[in-house]
Amino acid sequence: MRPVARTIPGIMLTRIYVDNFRCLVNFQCDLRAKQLILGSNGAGKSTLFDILTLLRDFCANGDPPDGRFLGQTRTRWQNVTEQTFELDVLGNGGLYKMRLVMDSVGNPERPRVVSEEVSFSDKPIFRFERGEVHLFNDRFEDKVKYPFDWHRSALATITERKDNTKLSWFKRWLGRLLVVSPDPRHMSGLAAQEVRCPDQYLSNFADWYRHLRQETEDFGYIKDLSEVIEGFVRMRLEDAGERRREIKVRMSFSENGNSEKSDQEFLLGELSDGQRVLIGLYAVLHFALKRDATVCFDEPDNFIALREVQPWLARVIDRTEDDESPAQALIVSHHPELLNRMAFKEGLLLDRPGGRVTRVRRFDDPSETGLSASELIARGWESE
Amino acid sequence: MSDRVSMTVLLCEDDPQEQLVRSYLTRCGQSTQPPMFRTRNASREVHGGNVDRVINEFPKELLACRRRHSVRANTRLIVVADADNHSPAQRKQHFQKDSQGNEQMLGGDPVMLLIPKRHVEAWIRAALGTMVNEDGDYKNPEPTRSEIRQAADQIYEWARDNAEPGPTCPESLRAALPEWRKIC
Repeated sequence: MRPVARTIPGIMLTRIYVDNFRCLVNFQCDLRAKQLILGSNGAGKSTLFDILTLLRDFCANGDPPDGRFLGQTRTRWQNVTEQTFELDVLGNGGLYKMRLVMDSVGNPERPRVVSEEVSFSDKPIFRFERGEVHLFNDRFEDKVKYPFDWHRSALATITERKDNTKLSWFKRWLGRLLVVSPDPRHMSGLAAQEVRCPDQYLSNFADWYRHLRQETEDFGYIKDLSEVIEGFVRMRLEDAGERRREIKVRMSFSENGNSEKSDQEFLLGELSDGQRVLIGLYAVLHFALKRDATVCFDEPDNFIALREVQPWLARVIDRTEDDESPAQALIVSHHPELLNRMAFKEGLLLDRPGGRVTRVRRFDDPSETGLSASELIARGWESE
Repeated sequence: MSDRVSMTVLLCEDDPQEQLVRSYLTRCGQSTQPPMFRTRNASREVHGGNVDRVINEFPKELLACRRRHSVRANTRLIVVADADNHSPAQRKQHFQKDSQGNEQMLGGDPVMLLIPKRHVEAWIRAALGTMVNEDGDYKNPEPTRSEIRQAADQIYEWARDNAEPGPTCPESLRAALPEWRKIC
């Protein structure tokens, strides 16, 4: 019997719209399962990821808006009071659309939610407007309404119930959205607690790893690390007192250059910057870049050697192309290896003509010079 | 399209060649910084076989410059390659004809070919006032940055319209002065 071809649609962030946030004015970009985001310094690449972090923290985690919306995040040369954010997410058998509009009120000014809405396949499942929340059930019926503090996200306070599975799915996706920019100087090896998600710079890496070790096995992760980090044997958590645990990494060395090897344990902080970043990046690859997940990598190639970039990137691309459980990876990079691998097929180019608003377009070779993507960028020939 | 050159691509073998051309461009008042200037220096891309790298990369660079020149902005390609044990004319043929012997350069191509007889250090010494034998080896001692700058200034003077090259100007440099002049 012939196998039946199955198409499992991936979960993806397919569109971002932003108005009046830093250099992003009436800005929209469409995204694919894997996307390389390119552009010169100041083009708005990291701003795009900052917005995703902001929406996750505010609308899923319930962080306060103060200092993160409006104020200095408004586009400087505009005199517009509202900031608008929209996300389109394909998943759970339909298309989610989320829209958040913020302005400010009071003296001193505080950010206020003008409207916060989520729809599923063009039907409303959540609305918070003028201080009033409307909750819809899975049959899109407006069942509950109640007043709410307009200085907070009402979506962040919604709990999972049997009749709001559609909204709950979206909130879970948003809460898991991950932006990663590994900074080895801030990666701590001491776990004082367990956390479900790493922060952007992986500074709480040990806390996250402690959580992961409770939840999952790490055979594949350790195997990968032993292949990419010379001498890496294994990694474990050791009791460090006061309920804290500490990451210990066992490395093996040749004795006096001969074939005999001996092992020694090191603290995470004793490893090189590049080794720590690899440990972080492969952890994200194994434990975060999974089905239904969107992971944004902001210059992941910093600190790691040229030969280490390609295998990691290949694994990331494999994950995004997985038939069974595809994930989404958005990558900001200036690295030639990434540019040459992804720019022509998956490159989105951001630029700011005249230093004003950010524009976006697919990367290409406008003069058909036949040069590599990295060479085009080095010459500035991609922007014409 | 304006006649003003919006980008210069330099394809050369090594650092002395690159420094001489950069110094010459600076003397002409032209930028040697991005986005106006881009170097492909073979010694930084391959280990050994620099001149082969320049010859092999030339068709790709020629095509890129030609296409961009025709549709976008004035772009030119400066190529420096030592003739080594060939004559400068023979080396020029390596660029003018492709591997099948067909002409690959067109009349209007924005390309400047600079071909020292043995190596560019002989041009540098000659421009500094030394009477050189073009078959001789002038790589040691290596010319300093300031010597290369002085040599570029002298080549600039020799390449000007109505200028008479000095008595130390060797034949291959004399033959290349029209190409140097086109750069300014």
